[in-house]
Amino acid sequence: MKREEYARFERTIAWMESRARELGLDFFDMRYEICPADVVYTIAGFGMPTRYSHWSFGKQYHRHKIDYDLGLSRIYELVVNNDPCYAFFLENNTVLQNEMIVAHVLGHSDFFKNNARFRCTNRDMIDTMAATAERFRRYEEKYGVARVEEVIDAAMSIQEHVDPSMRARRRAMRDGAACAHEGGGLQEKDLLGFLLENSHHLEDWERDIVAVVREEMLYFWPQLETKIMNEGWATFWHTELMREMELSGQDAIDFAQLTANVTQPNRFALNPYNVGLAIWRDIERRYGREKMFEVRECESDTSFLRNYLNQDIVDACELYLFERRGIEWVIVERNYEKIRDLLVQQRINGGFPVLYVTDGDVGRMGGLCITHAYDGQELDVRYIERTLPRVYRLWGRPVTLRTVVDGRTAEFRCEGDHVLRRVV
Amino acid sequence: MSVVTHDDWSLDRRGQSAQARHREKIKQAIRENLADLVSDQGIILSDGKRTVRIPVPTLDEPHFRFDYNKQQHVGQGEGEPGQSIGRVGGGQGAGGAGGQGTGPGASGAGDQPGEQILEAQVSIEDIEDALFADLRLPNLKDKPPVRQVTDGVDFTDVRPRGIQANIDRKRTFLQALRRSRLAGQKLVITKEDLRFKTWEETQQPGSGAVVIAMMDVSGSMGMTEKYMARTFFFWTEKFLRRQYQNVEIRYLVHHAEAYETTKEAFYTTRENGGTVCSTVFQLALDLVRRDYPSELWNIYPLYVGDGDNHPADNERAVTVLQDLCAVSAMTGYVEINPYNRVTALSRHVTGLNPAVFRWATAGHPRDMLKIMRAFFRADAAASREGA
Repeated sequence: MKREEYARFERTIAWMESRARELGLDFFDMRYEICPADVVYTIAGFGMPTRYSHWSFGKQYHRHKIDYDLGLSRIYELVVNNDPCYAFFLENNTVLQNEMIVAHVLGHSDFFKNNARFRCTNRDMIDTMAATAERFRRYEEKYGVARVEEVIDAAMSIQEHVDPSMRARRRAMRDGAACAHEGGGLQEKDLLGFLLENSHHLEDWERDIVAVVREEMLYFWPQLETKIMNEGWATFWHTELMREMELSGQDAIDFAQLTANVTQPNRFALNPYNVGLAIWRDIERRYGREKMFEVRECESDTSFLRNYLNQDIVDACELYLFERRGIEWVIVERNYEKIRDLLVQQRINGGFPVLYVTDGDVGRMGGLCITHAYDGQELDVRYIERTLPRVYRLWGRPVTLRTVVDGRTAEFRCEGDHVLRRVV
Repeated sequence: MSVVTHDDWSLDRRGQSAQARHREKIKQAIRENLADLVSDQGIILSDGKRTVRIPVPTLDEPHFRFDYNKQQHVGQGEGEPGQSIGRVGGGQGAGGAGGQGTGPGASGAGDQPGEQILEAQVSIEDIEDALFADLRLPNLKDKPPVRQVTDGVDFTDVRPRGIQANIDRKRTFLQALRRSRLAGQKLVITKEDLRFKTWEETQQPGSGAVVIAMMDVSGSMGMTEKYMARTFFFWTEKFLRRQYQNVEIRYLVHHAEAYETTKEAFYTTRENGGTVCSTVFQLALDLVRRDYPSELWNIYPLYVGDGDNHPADNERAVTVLQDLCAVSAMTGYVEINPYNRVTALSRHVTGLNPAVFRWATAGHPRDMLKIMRAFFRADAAASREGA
């Protein structure tokens, strides 16, 4: 974007924000930051603009940067669930691209602010993360980069195993406590929370790291479970707003091209922009705008797909199921009910296996027992063997995982670096 | 209420520094897996390729996750049920969806088909760096630079005429200044002031090394043994190339007689018959005397065999080896010996000058790393490294 185009850009923002409000969108105050590619890819790699440093973020950053340098793909925009809501733009975007992105992030900002799943998320996350990063830097100075990294690695390996249910979130907000054991045998889904409260092995600073990883996952979780809705919603509104802009010749072509890029289908994955947009359009046609606002407030991807995916949409988006047969990936199904059920099932617990802590004192020797709630999908054994030692690092005593391998109940036990496996 | 900002981010290095840490992890993984990497078929046989995929489990973030291969997945596009959309591990499907992203998304990395999760792309240079960091050239001597000449270009002279691209701005300006001052004028650059750099072609002395690869091709040397030899020579050549501008390799094989052969034949020939080691040592010595005078060349005779030799030949073999040691920078003797027998030849060679002569036994391709380290070590102490 050239200097002289800033005036046009700011005029468009003012018009878009007021027009979006007229159409019913209700978003946070916006902060639009224009930055060089390197910074955009850093933020994308880290997930947030102020997060602590970790080698895996560097890996992501490098991947984005390579894609960008080779012209394979580019991230046009990043938006952060925060009040005020921050959006980051690539400085070499054209003014038209940036106008479209403004329209797009207004949709996201509205969604963050109003969707029920986001109600318990920390709206000061940018500041919180900046403070965390500062604390982690001090830990690194005091205990060494390697030790801090080891604990972050360990906590991240089980970061998905939290309890993101609204009930647990509200309880935590009220009591300040992570987990409570209620009646009957122990069955705690919040693995990180359990370690935090019950591990005798962690020093205070290590506990802080585990707590941060857990809090950040709970902050990101609603984004995982509304990906299709959220991207579809933002895409829907950016097309609405851009259409009203009455674009001139070249701008209209560029806009059409950009939207086509974003909604391009992928053979091996569902494109949430494409499918989300199709579902929202279908809802608008069948039930009207008012219903759309109700859906954006109450639902998440699982109910969104279960309630509104139909054969018309499946056909229009050319959705299919595929699976591995020998050395080939093969299309196996085009029926919307089968596709819908699989999509919903894959989104249970964010697509992660459901694990429970079922014993925190195995054999009265302080062992930890984790049980996989097997639902027909088996775990990747190679990953179990590499993840358990990291849980052991946090627990400090033997850790056991019970699951099903090749149809039979199996136990993996870790007492240090080695993982033993036995069929029960 | 909205704010547009365009700050100066030029001091933000977080991405680069986290990436640097990731690179360190890759290097660490390479160091930890070096013995396997050095004997990796893919690298040895992929002459000229700059990167290889190697298993580096530590670089993938572990999680409890479903077995991707056992699940069904959703995709988009044309095609009837039963139709294939790609091969497993075929490198398709990467790239993810669309261009934009809501940013965070702490998971889901790398579960597209075609992505080998436990492997990382590593450049051969990184492996070389890790390997060669431990290796030193023994007995590195300056050879009088005579034979090897390299064409170079040196800008040696300045003239008033020449090619515009080679204009010497500083001298032109000084000339203009001098002339204008003498004439008492304002500073103006005229055509006469222009000065051009001109060059001379130079002949620069180079240095050279020759590896004399010798191998026993009697019946007892099978595929594994030859592969180990190949691994050894492959890295030796790469290592020497770092030190010398010009590295030559000559291939000699022997059974009861010795002869010179090509690289391809060296690794494929297999013959029967007796084993008389002294023949190949003598051939190497002749080769050195004829083509590689030791005052000009750094000579590395390296022998790979299984230690069997005709009993009557041992004395002679050692005598010739001694002569070979006298002219070489380092003489290496590798005995492929999975069962750790004490062979007749190994008993005889232990008395040779340990400053130049180094020997090792190997039972497995993984041992090649140890052997490289034992051979390419600056100090002369303890020449034997059992493996």
